[in-house]
Amino acid sequence: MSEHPAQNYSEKEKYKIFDDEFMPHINSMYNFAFRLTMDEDDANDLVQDTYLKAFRFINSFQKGTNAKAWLFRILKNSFINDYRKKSKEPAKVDYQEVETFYNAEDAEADNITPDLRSESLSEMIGDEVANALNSLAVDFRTVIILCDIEGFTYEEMAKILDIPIGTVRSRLHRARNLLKDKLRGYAKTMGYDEEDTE
Amino acid sequence: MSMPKKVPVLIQVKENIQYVNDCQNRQECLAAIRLILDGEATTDQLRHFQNHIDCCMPCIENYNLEVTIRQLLCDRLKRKDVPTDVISSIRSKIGELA
Repeated sequence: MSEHPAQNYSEKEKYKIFDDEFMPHINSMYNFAFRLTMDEDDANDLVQDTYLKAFRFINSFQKGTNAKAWLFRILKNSFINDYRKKSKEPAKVDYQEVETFYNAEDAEADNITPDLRSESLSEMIGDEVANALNSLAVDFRTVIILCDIEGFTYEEMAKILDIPIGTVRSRLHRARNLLKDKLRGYAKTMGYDEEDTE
Repeated sequence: MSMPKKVPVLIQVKENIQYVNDCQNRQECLAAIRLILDGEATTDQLRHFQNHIDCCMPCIENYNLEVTIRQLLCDRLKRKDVPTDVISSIRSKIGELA
């Protein structure tokens, strides 16, 4: 996201930007890092690496612009370059293939039947929700975290992930269908079955 | 600029309304519901949906399910604070970089 010309901040300005614009996002960054790596030590390292890079390249950040998206992009790139290989993530899915399939006009219209009722999910606890989210491939997990938890817009997500907005939309749609499948499975396993609510 | 998600409220089913129990465009409607909840729908999509959602039971159920899943993600997932020693370490290291 180097849309702005390089700045030439004084040392004092650098620290002020770091404290005022970067540090307020550190807990969101930590939670994002933890959900990506699923390991506390890796999350600590990833957050630290991200903040050190942010400080090192602070002249490419225009103060007063979207610091949170800028930081998330650095963290995402650091994760891909440095952590993904050693993380406990299962083999990466070929999501491009999935998206291509999903976008095809004759793609199976999965998840359109509301056979999972909202009442079935109301008893679900945090660990079950976390397990369902964590079971998704990291690319699908990421878009749900960015959109549904962190509240980024599609345009911001496209910049963070370096993908077109149309791909954000389709990946998110697919990710939500997969998450719904996982939650449906948990609801059945845990007995939060829709039969009990009717 | 991203803000913590404000999850909309569920749509209440009213007893005095004759709902349609089959939706001819479920896939398109589900996609539209998600765009609306994400704040990314066009004016036309919003207008169409507002006319449709008052009478379509499958879309009301899908809408409520989407809202509930967002509520689960926002309310039930534990959020942790970054350990203080990580903050101390970052501050110490940027002191060395300066």
